[in-house]
Amino acid sequence: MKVINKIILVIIFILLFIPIYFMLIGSFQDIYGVSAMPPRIIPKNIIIDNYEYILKYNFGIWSINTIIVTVSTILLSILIATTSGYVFSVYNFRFKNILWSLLLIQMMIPRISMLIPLFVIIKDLKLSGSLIATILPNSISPMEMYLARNYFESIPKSIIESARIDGANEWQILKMIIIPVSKPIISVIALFSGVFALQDYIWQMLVLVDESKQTLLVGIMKLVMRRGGDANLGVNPVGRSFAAGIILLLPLVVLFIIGNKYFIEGLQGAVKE
Amino acid sequence: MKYFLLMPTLIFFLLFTLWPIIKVIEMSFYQTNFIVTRFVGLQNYVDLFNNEAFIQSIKNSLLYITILPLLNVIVSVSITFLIADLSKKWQDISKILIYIPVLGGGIILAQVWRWVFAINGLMNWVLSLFNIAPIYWFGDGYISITIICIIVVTTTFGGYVIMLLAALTSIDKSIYEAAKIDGASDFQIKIKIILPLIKSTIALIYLLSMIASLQIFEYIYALVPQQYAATITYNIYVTGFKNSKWGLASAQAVILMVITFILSYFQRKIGNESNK
Repeated sequence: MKVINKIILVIIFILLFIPIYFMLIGSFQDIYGVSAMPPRIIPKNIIIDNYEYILKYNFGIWSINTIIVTVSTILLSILIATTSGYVFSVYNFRFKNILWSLLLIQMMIPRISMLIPLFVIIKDLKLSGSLIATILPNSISPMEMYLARNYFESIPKSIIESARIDGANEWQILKMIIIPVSKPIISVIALFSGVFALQDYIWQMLVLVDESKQTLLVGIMKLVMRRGGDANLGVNPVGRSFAAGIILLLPLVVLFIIGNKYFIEGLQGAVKE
Repeated sequence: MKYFLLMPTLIFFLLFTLWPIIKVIEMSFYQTNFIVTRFVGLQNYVDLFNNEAFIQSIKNSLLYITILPLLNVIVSVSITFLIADLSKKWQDISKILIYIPVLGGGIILAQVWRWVFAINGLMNWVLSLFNIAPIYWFGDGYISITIICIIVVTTTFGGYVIMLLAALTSIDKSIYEAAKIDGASDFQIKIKIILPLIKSTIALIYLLSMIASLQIFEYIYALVPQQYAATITYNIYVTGFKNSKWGLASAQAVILMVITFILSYFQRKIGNESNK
């Protein structure tokens, strides 16, 4: 039985990775290589022109922008999700349940319905075209708050109570008890928000107009989407778009491989009631 | 202390959740291109009834919402059952591999899907092996929508499988033993016993997939920027960001918001009932 399961599973994985595999080898091929049918399974005459084309533009500044956007989104997301998750799991106050449902309301609102007004709001806040505009709205995530609250609920209340009886104040409780055990949930939030920032094409594309302010995702995509215009001999739009895909996929996969344990824990935590 | 800790969340919530929601409702009562603005009341909503592009996008969205969640649930549940019987080592590796396409989902993998479904691309080559003439895959609404649904499934089911596996591990192992002693076959156990036990997770996946299908944007933007494949989301983008009809786009955004709200409500109800 299990052998059949394994065989079917391997076949599914092969099918699943066919596109990524062809993207990878195609990115090292010239135009004849990527358009050859039957498709080349083993690359011939490996070239790096496609990568050179992408790397010679504003790759440096785009990388820096991407790091700024990703790191800031991660830090702000951690701040917001952990503080709110902690408060809602430990304290009682008036309107707690109503406030919690309000905070989670964004889960039920389609992204585009937020982006249309946000585009106007960042204009009103004089943030149009800035990196900040791509960071701030992405830093509040109901999903992350929900996971954080669940995590803190799992810390036994008796530990906090006994610390209080021993005379610890709220800050000391936070510092001595909560923060030391928070590494897993912080990692989950960091990974989720980091991946979100690296994937958020639509909003970054709409906001970041100025080339010097763009992220890798927007800048590189603009380079390879510009088609037909400069159809010089030897130009290889397909190979270039593959190279773009690989360059953009790489940081995501690295981030995921490093933190996959936390990532999977986070996804599983979303199911638990 | 608690109010101090809640400050950042409240500020962000007011600025980037509540304000946009109120703003989009307000904007839907105006006609504006940011140069000329005038109050038109419900006119935008009335206009939408005769707006061909909007009606088409509603019809398309209905098609997406019929195909995608069902396909996603079937695929992710079957693959979950495949993985669940295997050893822990296999499960751990599967969870990692299955999630990598999800990371590239959207604009990144759209680059290679364009090549797969190009006129001289991979799919047409496969067809040529069976002597079938090449197909212009994105030339027709129904075919485009079906293809996009399949692509979206391949780049989303990984997350759902991980959630389903988590739901499976919380099932009491003695249930399997009892069923086996009673002579139930493996397949019977899965269908009759396990499926009902993970009903609420399946409902959750169905809901997430439903909401996701209303929000498909990047594949349409990159592969088929045509009215015949557009979701409501894509049509809102075109109406607002391309054609600068912000009031009309906002009215659609409000309608989409209401639809999503209703869907979430029903799905939650079903989810809660199946938990009882």
